[in-house]
Amino acid sequence: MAKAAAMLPPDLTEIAEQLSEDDQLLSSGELEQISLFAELKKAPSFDRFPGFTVLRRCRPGRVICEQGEAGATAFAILTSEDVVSIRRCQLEILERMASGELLEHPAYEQLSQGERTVLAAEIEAEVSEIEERCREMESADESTRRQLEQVASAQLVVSLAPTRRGRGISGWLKRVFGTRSTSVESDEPSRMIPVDGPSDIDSNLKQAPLYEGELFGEMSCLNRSPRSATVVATRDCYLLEMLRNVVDTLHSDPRYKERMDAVYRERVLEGHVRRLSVFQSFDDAEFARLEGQIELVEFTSGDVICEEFDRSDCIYLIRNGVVKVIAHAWTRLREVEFQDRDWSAVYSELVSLDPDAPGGLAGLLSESLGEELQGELTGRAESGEVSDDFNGRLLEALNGFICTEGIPKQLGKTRGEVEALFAEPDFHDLLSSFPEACQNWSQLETRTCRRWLLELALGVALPRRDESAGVRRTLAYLGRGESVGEMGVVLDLPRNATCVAYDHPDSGFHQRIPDSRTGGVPSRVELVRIPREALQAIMESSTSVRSSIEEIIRKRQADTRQQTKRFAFDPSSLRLRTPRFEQLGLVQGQDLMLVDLDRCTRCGACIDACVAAHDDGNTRLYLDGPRYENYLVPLTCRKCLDPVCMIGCPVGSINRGESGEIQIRDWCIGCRLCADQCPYGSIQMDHLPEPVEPDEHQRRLLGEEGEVKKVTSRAVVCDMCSQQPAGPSCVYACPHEAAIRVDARSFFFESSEIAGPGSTAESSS
Amino acid sequence: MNRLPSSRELSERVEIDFPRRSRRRLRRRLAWVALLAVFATAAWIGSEWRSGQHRVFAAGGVSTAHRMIENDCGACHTTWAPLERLANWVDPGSIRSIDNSKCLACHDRALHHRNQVPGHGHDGLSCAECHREHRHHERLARVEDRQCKRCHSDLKTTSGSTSTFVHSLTTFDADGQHPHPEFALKRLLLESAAGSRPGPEHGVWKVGDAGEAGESGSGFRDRARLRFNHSAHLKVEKNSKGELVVGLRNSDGRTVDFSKNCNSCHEPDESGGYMRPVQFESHCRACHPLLFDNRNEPGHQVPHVTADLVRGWLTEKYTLGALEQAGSRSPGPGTDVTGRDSRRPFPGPAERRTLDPAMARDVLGRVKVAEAVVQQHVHTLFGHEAKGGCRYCHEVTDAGSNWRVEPPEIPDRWMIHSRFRHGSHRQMRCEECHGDVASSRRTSDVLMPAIATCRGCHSPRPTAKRFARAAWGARSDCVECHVYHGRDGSKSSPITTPPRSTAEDGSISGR
Amino acid sequence: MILDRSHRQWLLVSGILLGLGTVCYLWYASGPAGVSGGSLPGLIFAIVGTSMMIFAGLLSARRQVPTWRIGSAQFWLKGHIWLGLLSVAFILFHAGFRWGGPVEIGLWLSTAVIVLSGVVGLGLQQVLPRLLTTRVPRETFIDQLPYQCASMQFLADKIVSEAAGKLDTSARRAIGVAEDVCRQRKWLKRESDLQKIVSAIYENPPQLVPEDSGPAKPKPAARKPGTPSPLLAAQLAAKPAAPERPVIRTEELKTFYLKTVRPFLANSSRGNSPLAQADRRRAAFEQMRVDLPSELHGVLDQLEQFCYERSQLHRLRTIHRWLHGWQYLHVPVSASLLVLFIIHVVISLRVVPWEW
Repeated sequence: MAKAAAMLPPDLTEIAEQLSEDDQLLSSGELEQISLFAELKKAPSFDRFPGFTVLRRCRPGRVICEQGEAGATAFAILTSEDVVSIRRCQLEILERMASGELLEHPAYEQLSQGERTVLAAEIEAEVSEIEERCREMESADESTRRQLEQVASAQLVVSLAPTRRGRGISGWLKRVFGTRSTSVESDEPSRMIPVDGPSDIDSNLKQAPLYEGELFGEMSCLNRSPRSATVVATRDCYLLEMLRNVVDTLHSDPRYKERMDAVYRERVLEGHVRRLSVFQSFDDAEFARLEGQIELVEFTSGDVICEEFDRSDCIYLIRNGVVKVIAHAWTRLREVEFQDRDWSAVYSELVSLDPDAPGGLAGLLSESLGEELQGELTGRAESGEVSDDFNGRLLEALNGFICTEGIPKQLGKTRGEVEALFAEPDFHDLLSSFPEACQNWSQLETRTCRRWLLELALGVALPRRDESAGVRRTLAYLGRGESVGEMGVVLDLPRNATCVAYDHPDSGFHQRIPDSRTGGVPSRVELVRIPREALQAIMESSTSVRSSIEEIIRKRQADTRQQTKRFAFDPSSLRLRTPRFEQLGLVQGQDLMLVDLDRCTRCGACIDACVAAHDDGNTRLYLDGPRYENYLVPLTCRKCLDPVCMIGCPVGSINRGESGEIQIRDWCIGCRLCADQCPYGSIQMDHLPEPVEPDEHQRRLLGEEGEVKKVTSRAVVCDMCSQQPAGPSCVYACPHEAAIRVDARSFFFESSEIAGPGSTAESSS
Repeated sequence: MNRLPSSRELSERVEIDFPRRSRRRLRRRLAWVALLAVFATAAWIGSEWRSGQHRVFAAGGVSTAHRMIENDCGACHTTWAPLERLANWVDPGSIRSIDNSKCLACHDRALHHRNQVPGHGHDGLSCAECHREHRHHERLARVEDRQCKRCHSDLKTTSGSTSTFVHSLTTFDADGQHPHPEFALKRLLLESAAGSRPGPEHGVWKVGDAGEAGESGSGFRDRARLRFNHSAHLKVEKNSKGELVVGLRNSDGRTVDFSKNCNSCHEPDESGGYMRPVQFESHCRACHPLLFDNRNEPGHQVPHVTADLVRGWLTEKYTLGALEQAGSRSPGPGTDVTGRDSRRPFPGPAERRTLDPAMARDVLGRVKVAEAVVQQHVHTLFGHEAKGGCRYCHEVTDAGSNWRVEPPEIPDRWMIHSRFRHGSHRQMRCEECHGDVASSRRTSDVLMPAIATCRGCHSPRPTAKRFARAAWGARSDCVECHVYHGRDGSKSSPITTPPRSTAEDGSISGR
Repeated sequence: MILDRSHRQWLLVSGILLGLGTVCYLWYASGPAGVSGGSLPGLIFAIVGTSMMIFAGLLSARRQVPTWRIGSAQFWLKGHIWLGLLSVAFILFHAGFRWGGPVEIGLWLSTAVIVLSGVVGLGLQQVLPRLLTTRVPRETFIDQLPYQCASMQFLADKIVSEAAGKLDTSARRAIGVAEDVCRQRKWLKRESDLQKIVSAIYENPPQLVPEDSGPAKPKPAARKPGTPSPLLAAQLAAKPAAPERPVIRTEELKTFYLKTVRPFLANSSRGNSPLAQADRRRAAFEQMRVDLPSELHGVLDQLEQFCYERSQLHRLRTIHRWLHGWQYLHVPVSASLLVLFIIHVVISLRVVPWEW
């Protein structure tokens, strides 16, 4: 992350608005005065990045940030004390300048002597004024003090009014006979809308107060999500606007981090774990017991979560992202492979590695083996005696070599170079599907390559992986809420497949991040790691948990049996591996809409149905999109396994409905984030015919010259017609049986083999 | 150019709110065109309506006869009848779209047969059932056989007694199931000839038991009281040169071949339907002069009238003759029978002449003689010396002072249940149907054709040589020959009317 | 609607119905009274046939309310096809295979037209979709053809104007879609950007008024500029200087574009224009490549791509017309059939028309 932040944003004016007269840049000295930084374990060295913070003085009615705008900075509201201290040290700087010594200060350098004196006077006046207020506050009781501390308020300009009714005859008919539809949300009681600030916003008041000493805008700052609310100063106050790297330093600071983590655990983790079918039956006590042992783990995409034949020591619950489950993708060496081989040959091979093997493999190996192992090896090579524990150690060492990150430089930086090492056709075939630059290889790819290298280096002695392993087959794409490895844990078996962190194939950074001002965050797969012991403990205590887990196990066993049955040939898996399939990310689709182009007469009945099914008279479905085989994959929500559209919605108005469909609640602030994040362009920004304006209360707050822009658009996404009894209207209304909604995985593998617990858990989540 | 785009890229080109801009051109245009079509149709019907020509709504053109009431549907139809029928779930039932009363208002026709079931009227047959209207130019009278078969396939009577007609009759075709039987007349004759004695046959006219006729031979035959020998009249011989040597000689003495032209005696009537009765004056007298006293009155003939008239005529004839002779004693130029000078009438009372008793006696004598001649002559010599007599052809009863001639009782039609037009058959020669004419010597022979003759042509598969090659035969449906209601507008049923004949006025049709 | 196994039940059912109908008809036709539409059996046949026709006709009504869960659209369409066909037989039974009067003949004719056009349409639907799939790889949905063309024009304008300077053309349509196009491609950071982009392309662009803020309007929060921050300085330094674009013989390009390409991209262009045929298009662009310096070849490639897509849209429109054109016969005639039907019913049920 630090790397990402370190690069200079290409267009800073986009991030930080122009300095106005009251704003100024602070020197590191001044910054250190601020309590926020003071309390850190180690204070950031502000000299490293000068000018990445701005002190903004806000007069009442000033719009600090607007909802939906792209924002890349966080704001810290300075407490009065901070301000005083800063001003003080500024005064002294000015005095020292006045006294003629040369200090470099971002703001004051350019000023002439006269100006400095004027400035000093102003500052003094202000300081006294603020101190006055401080005294006031100390004297005041709690409530009034709180009031005094409020310096700004976060506004939401959204209309929660019921959505428009359809027009025309059909609209009338719908009003008379039609099914109840989405307007129900509008007459719900007030709810709290989460915003990028310390406190949520009440959906009726549409505003929340901001107090001194609070920090807001972090989300926007960290992952570029748009501003979730319009913040307007209500009182004369000072804000410290910070760029990402400052916030990063905050985050990298262990103390701050753990504070955040604690918050995170209590806010998110429970919700997630509770949502999983396995733990739904938990009562609070059990959960509390569990929570202690649960740990949060993250894998960046391409990492190997666990490998086939590993000991299954824990259950992974997928909290976010997709995990690709592959059979026969193991790379480590195993004893079983050596069964009918004589170890001595291996020893001798290892010993007699010619040092000038291509790419200096020998050197690499020997260093990975280590000194004393080497010595023992030579000894055994001569004596030829074999001991299992030694073999175990040896294998460990070799596996260590295999599992090492990355491809050693001397072997080459690009695929071509690595290929050039050995004239081995199979090896070339293997590498041909890998990315060009070695550093872009996923962990699995790296390991596979390394295993190959080992085999090639050792020649005959080492068992060839592809002798014992069948063709790689993707068993499943497990999505949010599904779990990995419970069978292994419960039955105490090794992992039966390799799990790899996976993500949207054609979602590049430019799609992940609303504006490509900085490099994006590489997508992560976040897992909840539930250690085996913990689960066993709980299973003993609660019957419900046991039953639910055994349910899963039964399903899994059935699946594996089927798989073993169909081992002979499985065209579907081949088809799945077509790059086109990957590019279109069809695996993501649980309710993937497909239009059979041989049947579709392009009559548009589906679109009419879609328009009729929603009140705002707009469609969620566009009969345009890529083709796969003889199907059109139209632009509409496919109910992804991993709905990246939800990532960082500023107001959390996009979420899953009961049946797992994506729905956008009516307090959408039209920030385009979800629309831009959807890798398949399935979310559209619908122009509101009448833009939403701030209500009179907010107007008063803004004052006459303060203006905020109206909300003119709102994100629209297919909600799978969850209000309709009989499923998606588009499919229902297709006269030609051309439109279908399918679970892409089970549709394109013509198999139940991956319809594991995933689907059930998914629908329940 | 051929790189396959991803959903994302394609999503950039869609027009987001096209439904809002309501772009369903096809649907909208369709709606408009449909509306247009509706209006066009409505306009068409409306215009027809306003024009008062309700032919549009009719299920088809009405028959020519009903054209004048074409636009007045109410003249025949009953309102909402089909709906009622539907509502009451009855068919054909009592609810009729066309009530008989409406037909009878103009066409008051007789029942087919007094005992027929079902009868006419409210619960019986409806006119419209048989007479289908709205079939354009098709004649209403052309009733389909199906309608006749409704009864005749299994004939019933009101009285329940078995009908005298054939019980089931479905086709005219000989080898059909329930074919039309032999004509009653013919059947009677054949059966009797075969020796069996069939019962009295309804509607067969003028053929009776020979016993009654008091003539030799037995069996049924024509009982006309007249002697006529067809073969004698049609006898023809030719010599080698093809000239006629034997044949009838006409008044001016030339021999004529009558076998070729029957209608020198049998002339068709005005309508060309039937043959006129043969008239003595026009057909017979030329060869059969009624001479009575060729010596005294050469070439003079008695009129072809009743006996009394003949007597009166003769009396006058001879009286005048006698007076003439008396006058011729002092014959003056220009004096007529009364002896008056015809040249120059003098003023004053004319001179009266009367028969003296001697003359009267003489006259009476002559009359008696002549009368006897006329009356009793049995055989005739032709030529000027010929003596003719009534008895030659007629039956003359109670010879003596007051003799009289029996009426001949020749029927003008034989098969009175059916209609026949000689005109329609004019392309055929007479003997093709009336075959045995040439050989018939006696009046008692009935020379009508058998049904087979008709079937020669009137059949789906004609058997007559002449029509053998024709794809289909002449029509053979019921109404071709038979009529349902009374003939030519008579209110009386065709079956129950007695046939008319020349004998009704009791005299030989002479004048 | 592809005719496949899923139609078997319908085929079976309608076959059985037809059989029953025929049997009933033969029985009733052989009766003494003979066939007549007004008789009870005739009326029953009429009712059955009519109800089938009405069901078939209701398809269009059902389309108006696609969200009602009253049987899936497939069910309705299959019913439309099969019962529609079957109804003809029943109406024939009702009429006893007679034409009837003018109104009835009208009914017959329109029925014939409807059935024939429907059958033809069905036939076309067996073939054309596959054709469309194979012949039009760059397919989009028909409703947005005008938008597509306009946006293509706009994009092409943009490309050409970048290469060859502002265009002097009346670009109302293109500008109409400019906002959407830019928005979707995320070219609009500010409201004023649209005006910038447009005026960069066209000689005399119309004054666009985006919904809330005029182009010239400054951002509300921005007040009078204070001391320039080093951020800005740094950023100015960082910004790469715009490379000097070589302007050589761009006039030919511009004229070629304005004369040939742009009209072809327009929605109103004809399918038989030279650029529509692949070979002639290629030839034309090859010619231009020869004429123009290599700097402009990139532009030409993009233009050619646009033309390629436009020609695809032409093909799309043609096939789409074929695919749905028959409805212009089918639907209106059924409408007039409805009118005639009502008249026929009223007249023949209330045999005597109103007093005139």
